[in-house]
Amino acid sequence: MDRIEVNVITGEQVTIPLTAEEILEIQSRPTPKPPVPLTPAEKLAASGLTVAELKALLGL
Amino acid sequence: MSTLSTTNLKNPSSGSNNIVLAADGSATITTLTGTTITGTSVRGGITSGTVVASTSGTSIDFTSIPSYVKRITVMFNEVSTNGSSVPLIQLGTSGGVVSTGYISSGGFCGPASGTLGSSTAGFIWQLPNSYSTMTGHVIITLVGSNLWIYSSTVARTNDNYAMMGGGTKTLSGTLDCLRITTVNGTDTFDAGSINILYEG
Repeated sequence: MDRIEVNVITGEQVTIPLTAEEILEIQSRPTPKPPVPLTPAEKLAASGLTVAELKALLGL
Repeated sequence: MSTLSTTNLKNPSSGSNNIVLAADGSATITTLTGTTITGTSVRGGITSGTVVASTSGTSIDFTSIPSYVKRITVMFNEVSTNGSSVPLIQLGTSGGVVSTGYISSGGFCGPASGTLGSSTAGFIWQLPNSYSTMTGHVIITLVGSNLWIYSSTVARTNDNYAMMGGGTKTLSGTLDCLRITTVNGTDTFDAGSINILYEG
């Protein structure tokens, strides 16, 4: 695995193989936490529907 | 090209030197209204980095970012990787790239909507898949005392999704580089180009 390194002052670009330390850091990198599932009430609120509108929509 | 070698420049109507050139290469500029600018670089403008073809490598580092910089705009032009790991931006100081302690989260909207989740390993801004391409900006600004925040507005242009994110990171020193990579660190960039603008 390589990384591309760009010096913003000189514009020089070099390709550098990852070091063992960098590979170790990658392997220990935490994955993003998944989102917390919305409750039915939160889903309803996010939809913009009121309970009355939902009932009317479903013919209840 | 000829070189004018002098140490002082002055308008004839000015009571003092307008530009003083020091031996170390720095300059002091005093305008007629009394404003003085001193330093080895003139700040305030926007400087472009160098465009990088994001067609190889597992990460792309922009290094030697000047210490006066207070805002960095990372520009993604139809960038993709060969995998589906979430892209990640990490900040660095003279001690190296920092990989922990970030607060970062994001969401997306389009044919469906949802959240990207949250990450402590860096700033996240897109939910990718192996065929997705991203175009847009991630803006990183200095609040003060090495506290940096970011916001992102990036489109997944292949399937019409908009991705948004935001977060914060306090560095232990002055920012001097940033790394663009992925969470798993092994996906390889395979299309597009990336550049940064910086200003201070």
